[in-house]
Amino acid sequence: MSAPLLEVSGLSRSVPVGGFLSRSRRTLLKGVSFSLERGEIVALVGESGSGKSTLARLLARLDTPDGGSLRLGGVDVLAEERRGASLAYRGRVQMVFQDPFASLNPVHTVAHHLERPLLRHGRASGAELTPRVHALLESVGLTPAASFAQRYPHELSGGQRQRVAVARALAVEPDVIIADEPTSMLDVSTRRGVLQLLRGLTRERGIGILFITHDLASARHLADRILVLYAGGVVEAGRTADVLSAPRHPYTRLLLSAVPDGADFLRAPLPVKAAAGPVPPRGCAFAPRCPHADARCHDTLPAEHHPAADHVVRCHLESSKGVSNDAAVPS
Amino acid sequence: MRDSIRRLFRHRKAAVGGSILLFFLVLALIGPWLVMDPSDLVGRPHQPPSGAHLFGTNGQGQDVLAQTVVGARETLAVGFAVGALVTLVGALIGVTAGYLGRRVDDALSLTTNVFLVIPGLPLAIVLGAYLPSGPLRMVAVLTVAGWAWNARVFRAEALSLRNRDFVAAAAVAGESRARIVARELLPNMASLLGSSFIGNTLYAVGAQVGLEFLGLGDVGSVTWGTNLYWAGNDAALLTRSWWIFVPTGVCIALVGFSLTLLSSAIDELTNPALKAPPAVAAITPVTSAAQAEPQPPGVVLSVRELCIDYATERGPSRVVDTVSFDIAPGEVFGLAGESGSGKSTIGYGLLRLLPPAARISQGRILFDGTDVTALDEEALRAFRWAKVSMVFQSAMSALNPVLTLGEQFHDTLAAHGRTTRAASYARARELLAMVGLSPELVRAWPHQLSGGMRQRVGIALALALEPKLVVMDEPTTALDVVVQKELLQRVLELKARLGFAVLFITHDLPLLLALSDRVGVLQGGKLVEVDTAARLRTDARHPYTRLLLSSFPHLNADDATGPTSNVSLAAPERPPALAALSGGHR
Repeated sequence: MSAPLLEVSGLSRSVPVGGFLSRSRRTLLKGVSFSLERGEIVALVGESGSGKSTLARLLARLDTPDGGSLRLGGVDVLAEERRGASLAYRGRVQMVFQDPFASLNPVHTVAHHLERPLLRHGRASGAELTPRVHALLESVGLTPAASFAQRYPHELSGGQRQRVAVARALAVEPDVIIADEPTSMLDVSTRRGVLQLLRGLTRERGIGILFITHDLASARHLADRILVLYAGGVVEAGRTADVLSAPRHPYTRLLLSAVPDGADFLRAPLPVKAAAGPVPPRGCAFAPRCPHADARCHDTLPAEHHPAADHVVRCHLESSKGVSNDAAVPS
Repeated sequence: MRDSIRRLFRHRKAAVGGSILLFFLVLALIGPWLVMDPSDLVGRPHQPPSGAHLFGTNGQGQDVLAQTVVGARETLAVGFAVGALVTLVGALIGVTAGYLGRRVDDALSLTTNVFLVIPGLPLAIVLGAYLPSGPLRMVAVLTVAGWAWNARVFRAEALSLRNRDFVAAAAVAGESRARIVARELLPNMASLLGSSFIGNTLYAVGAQVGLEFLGLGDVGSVTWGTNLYWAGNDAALLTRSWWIFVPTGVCIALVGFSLTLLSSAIDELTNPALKAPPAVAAITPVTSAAQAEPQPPGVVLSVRELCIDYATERGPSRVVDTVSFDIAPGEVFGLAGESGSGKSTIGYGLLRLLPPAARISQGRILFDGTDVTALDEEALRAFRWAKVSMVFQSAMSALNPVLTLGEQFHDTLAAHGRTTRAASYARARELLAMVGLSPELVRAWPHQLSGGMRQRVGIALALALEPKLVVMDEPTTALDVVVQKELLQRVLELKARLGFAVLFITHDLPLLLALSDRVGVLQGGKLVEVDTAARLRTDARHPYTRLLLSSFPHLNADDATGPTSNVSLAAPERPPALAALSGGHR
């Protein structure tokens, strides 16, 4: 089997806190591993502070991780390109930002936003430039393209801006797009269109998309696989249908129970204890809030457990459920 | 860009300032050919103004008019040159430091700070003593003494722009650092560059005249500063020869005035917050039969044909259009709508908390029999919070960051009646416990709380005076789903216990349907459908309601393919002009 399109293993990041003499650091991401295949959408879900955006910035090479490896098509890019991302990497991995009101430069036209990556990566030049810009705008549904190309960001609605941002990411013909909550700032009636656009890209062009979201419902509709992040670590991962229909980790169950869906969602109690203080240094990060936690959970970090093929969960309660489950997993 | 230049010409301050400056620029350019040679000894010294010498003669017997006109040339040339150089050097160093950060920033900031600590005038004097004489010396001296402050300003601006997503997006697109600074950051600083250039020119003219007056310039040249220097040397004051120094003084003052006007005009044009909002034309309220009807019993709030207009440069824009609804005591009424639908404006309108540019142009708001739209300031103060209170979207900006929670409760309670601090704190503890927080938090500061805790404090504050209605404007939009559910469960529990009614405003229709008894759907300022939550869920009538409902993906129902997507294509993308008027989130 060939190497996956994008493979991340043990990625960590921490930032210094306090004044310039203080040596304490805060961990944002610890040992995250996953892979992304061609034409696949992987959803990354978690609450704010779980490290979603940190991971996005690491993959977009806007920040540098403390440890771990990042392989693009089998090549360890962090080891190869120590002084920052190469142009070739930028040409293969693109990002769509959360806030389309901030990610387009107010002083440049739409055409300028699309021409720059085309020129910079040698994808088009001279006379082909304008037709390419128009083709890009049409591919994201902004027609008439000639009119949209001349506008400035403030002349567009939120949904239109986000489409321009997607077009900019597409300009370099990337293999991977990191979409950091691309719809959370948009009005609901325009969200579906942007999501359908992303889905179409994976089908038509085989682009792999890492879809970062806090909304389990849109993850369910868009993603092939899902990663649940809590306090900087992956607590559960697997095929979307498996994880959301039979969640194994108590945190995944908690997230699911909080999605506003159905008439009596507010009546069902939340399976959680009141949040108590910061994440503990030892044991399972979720233990202080977990209604099922026992002494083991507060002491040792649970190991990865495979309840089914392609389903990973980090929870003591799951791994102690008996051998029959484990035995079924070809390792 | 062209647009902003056109606006600059229409601005009154800019027009006056610009004309004065233009006059002096023309004078400096062609004036010297129209007057006699300023260094010629044309008459007797200290002659008052006469037909031959309009401004008289100075202590040497030179023509004052010629000296003033010719002096403008070097003074303004040096002023603008220094203004441009100081801005350029300051911007380059500041933006480089701010954008690159870390060690580059440390080194450049240290240098900047050292230059800021050295007093400018002595530095200029020392430098002036070592450099060869001439106008270029003045330019060099003033630039070295003046760039540091600008570097600080531009560094701060670059720091705030650096974290904007479009800079990250440019980096992801593979742009080089130099290009990001030159093409992404600097164009966004155009207005700062403009006003800094004007401000620096002002500094340069002033400092130059000051140095020359002290005799530190080239006393052989003819500038406004040396004119004053010679006036002083030739005892113009002692001989009461006012005509020698007044023309130069007036010129300097006028140039300074014009630059100040221009700089303030640029500020006002680029920062809309400094501009006075356009006045809303008074509209004579038309009271229709429906509005005049008395409030029916069993209703705590009646909104009757409410219209709210925003004043814009293109005339009034109707944001809320003939909206009517009733809320029963203890009821949760939901208002759903997208940005620009006017949902937040209605919420603020109920408490008459609209921004200055907005006004209720029609309709009535009846609360317990009183017409809220007719209350005067005094009655309004008593009405707000005691009868209707509000929970805001951003809990951090709703809480005062420099007061402890206990003090904020005391402020609220004391504003509505005499109460001691001890009694307020006791009530604050009680309220905090009620929303599920530790009573000991009365001594905490807002920044010590998480987003969910702050929003709980917001709810406790809203309930402090036991109002009959609480307006909640997107109180959970910024929160995680788990925290949102905890908070809403608490609100419903408190409502059951205390019996207040809730007007809940959000764009999240599934949430609203689970929470509310009845829901109203707003589109473009109009209430298109009002019904019970149960009926809206199953058979919504208005196509827009159905579109909204279908836009939210469901977790359980198997609608992976979704309803026909042409419904969503039919949704009009609102023009941004309307979206910009939204009161709430984007």
